Amino acid sequence: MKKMLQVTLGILTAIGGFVDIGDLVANALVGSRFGMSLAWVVVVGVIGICLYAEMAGRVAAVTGRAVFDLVRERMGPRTALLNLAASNLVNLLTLAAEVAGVALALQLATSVSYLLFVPMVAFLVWFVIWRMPFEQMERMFGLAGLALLVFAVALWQLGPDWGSLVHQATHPTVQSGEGHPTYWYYAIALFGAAMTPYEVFFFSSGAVEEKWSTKDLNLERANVYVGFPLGGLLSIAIAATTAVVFLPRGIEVEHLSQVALPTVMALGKVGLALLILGFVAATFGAALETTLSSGYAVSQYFGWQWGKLVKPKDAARFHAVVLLSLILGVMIVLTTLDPIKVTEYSLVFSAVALPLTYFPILVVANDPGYMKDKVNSRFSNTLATAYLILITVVAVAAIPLMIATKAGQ
Amino acid sequence: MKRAPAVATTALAVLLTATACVGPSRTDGDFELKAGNTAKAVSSALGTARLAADAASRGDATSNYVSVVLGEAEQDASAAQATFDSYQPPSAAADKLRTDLDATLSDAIDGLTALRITARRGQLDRLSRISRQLGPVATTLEQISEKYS
Repeated sequence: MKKMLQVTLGILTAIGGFVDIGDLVANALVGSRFGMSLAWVVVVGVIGICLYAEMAGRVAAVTGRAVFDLVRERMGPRTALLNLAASNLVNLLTLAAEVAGVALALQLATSVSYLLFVPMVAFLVWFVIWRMPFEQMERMFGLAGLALLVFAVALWQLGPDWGSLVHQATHPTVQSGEGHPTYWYYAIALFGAAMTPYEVFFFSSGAVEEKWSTKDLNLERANVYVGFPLGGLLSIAIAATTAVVFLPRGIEVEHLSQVALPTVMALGKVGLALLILGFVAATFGAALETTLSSGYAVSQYFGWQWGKLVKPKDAARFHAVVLLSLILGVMIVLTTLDPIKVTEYSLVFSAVALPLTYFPILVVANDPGYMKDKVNSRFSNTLATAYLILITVVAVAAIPLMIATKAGQ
Repeated sequence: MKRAPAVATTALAVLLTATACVGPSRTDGDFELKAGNTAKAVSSALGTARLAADAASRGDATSNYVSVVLGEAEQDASAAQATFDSYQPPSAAADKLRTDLDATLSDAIDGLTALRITARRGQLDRLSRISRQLGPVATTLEQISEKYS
């Protein structure tokens, strides 16, 4: 019974924690411009993140060491440094977007400018990382993030033409008035949102923090194979709400406030309250994860003591990196750059950095020196290799498409 | 090797600038396309504002939320008009299109301003009336957008 509860809590946390500011913005934007015709990208992205997150979690459970720790050892310091630099740059942009996301959600509740909330949000992120135990932190924000299921209820309440939505999803076409390059640019952004690099760093380091062993592999797989796909369904529901309300009216999503509007129309103030709670929980949880991921990656590369289980005085450099990342993220937001644009850029740059993140995981997960009999199966390897090719194509195409479409304009 | 970070930073800055640039209009066709895109952007902002205003009038949205939506819609529309006004019309025909569209854009922005002021005064029940009055402007913008986009 206790085991069952643990699995259920893990899955619920994974669902609630799956969606972050990137998923919210990308899915809502794509739904408003392309209807459900990019839903297939979410499916492809979710399969990819399941595949590689399971690998990263398995590596951590078998070796007791996190990804970056092994990447440097296995791939050498130079390759690992390139990986570290690319991942941390993307992570910094994502962190800025998540902090801005929390502040924007608070702005929806209060109508006070989001910029005024940014320092307070950053302080709270630091405080939670400093004081709250890892598991409690992960559970609290993951479970509160389940409030975003209100998107699915709102979709039902809006009474859409389900046949039309399914048809759009299964017969993808580019809407009139939109070009093919723009379609593919947003496909890449959506793919980047589903496969954001910080997710695997956090998942793998979190497994070490929670002291997973091979006995926990079933729990890990339940989180990944059940929790992530259900999180993906939530992403599709977000796109569907904007596809139903905005697409026929020619409205494009450019603000977080617009992401909430279909739910407000369907469920009124109760829907709005739940949505703001969900926005805050999802983006705050992701801000914690991205901040910690920066600390994890740098500390693991340099071989410093790291983690929340270690006393702060024994992991001073880890906490210094965490604090510095947070300050840099806040500085990006306080430049008053449009936070939604920062989010879009972070997704595209995520896509560019994907091969650097995922290739080393595949290498380590196939090394019997680390993994013994828990190396990848032939099926996993075939699928992972196919994904690696796809990821490489996406990474190469991302920047030219960004320039050609003027970032999706 | 020491120059690599500087080169990377410059390349990133150029890339971000390149994606944010607006090009000049050299032909009537290009100017019409820009007019169509501007009408589409303002139509989108106006459509969002009208949906939010109607929801608030029904009691479905808080005044804080609707104030944010309407403020952002007004800013988006004003920014789109300012960008459009910065384009150089290449001919007399483009001059006329610019004048006509500008008048409609100004009507839309005036309406959005009225919605924002009313919402911030807490008079949410009055929003749907203003929203209805904006119907003809919204239709004109949609027509321009369809004609030129």
